[in-house]
Amino acid sequence: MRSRPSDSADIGVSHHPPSGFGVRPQELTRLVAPNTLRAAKEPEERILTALRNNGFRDEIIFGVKLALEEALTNAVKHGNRGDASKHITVSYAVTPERAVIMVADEGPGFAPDCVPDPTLDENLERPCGRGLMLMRAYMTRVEYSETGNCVWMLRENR
Amino acid sequence: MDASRESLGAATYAVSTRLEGATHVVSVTGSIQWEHADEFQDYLPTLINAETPNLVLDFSALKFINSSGLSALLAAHRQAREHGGELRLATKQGDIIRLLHITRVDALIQVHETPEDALAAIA
Repeated sequence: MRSRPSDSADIGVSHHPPSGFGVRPQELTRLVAPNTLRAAKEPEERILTALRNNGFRDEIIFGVKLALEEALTNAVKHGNRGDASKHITVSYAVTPERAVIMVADEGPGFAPDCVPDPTLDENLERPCGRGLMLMRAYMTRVEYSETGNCVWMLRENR
Repeated sequence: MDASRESLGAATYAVSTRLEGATHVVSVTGSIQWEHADEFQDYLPTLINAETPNLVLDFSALKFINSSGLSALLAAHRQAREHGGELRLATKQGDIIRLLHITRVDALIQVHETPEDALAAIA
């Protein structure tokens, strides 16, 4: 886990939060981790600790943990396809008012709007798309980069 | 089976199982998150067969489950159905109930307040 200025992990990554997310790029803490779920645990724990320290309710922390695990799992397993030579990048800022989280991988990206709705009767027993739906359900806003390998998530504390 | 551990500051994951007639009652405490989801998914199918086709999952003390854990539930539900049995859940945890509702998993799997209620519904 380390900070890195600019390298292959930056492909398709925007370091500028989307408009309205309420944080400036210089307020973000940026971590680059090897492409394993074990390594991704550290940014997750740091962010969850920051949420507790900033007074987020357990109900909100549950949702952010869920969304964050889905984003990190997608990055490691689907984006980087389990390639141990690749990295994931996590940027975050947590204040008493909001949590802003970015997760990026080095994969080719995907088109989130083409993922099937997992709550339709015909899709209920299929795993596809449930993680993405949960991110959208539990976060205030979820926005993907044009390339689809970088997701920004905002959760307001209210 | 009993399994319990702490790892890398992660929440505890523990499973205990008992047999009630043709129904296994599996109590899961702690969190089903990414380091546990595969184990959970691999374990449930070992309990379901023609002699014991029913499963009650007691989530009374479960604090968290991710989408991989939900997929494991749905796979076990399908397997139980294929053996002529059924899978039912028991929990009063608001976060878990809301998650089951948002994902519409509760449209396929009945949720009861207690494992005793779930067992009675199967009987």
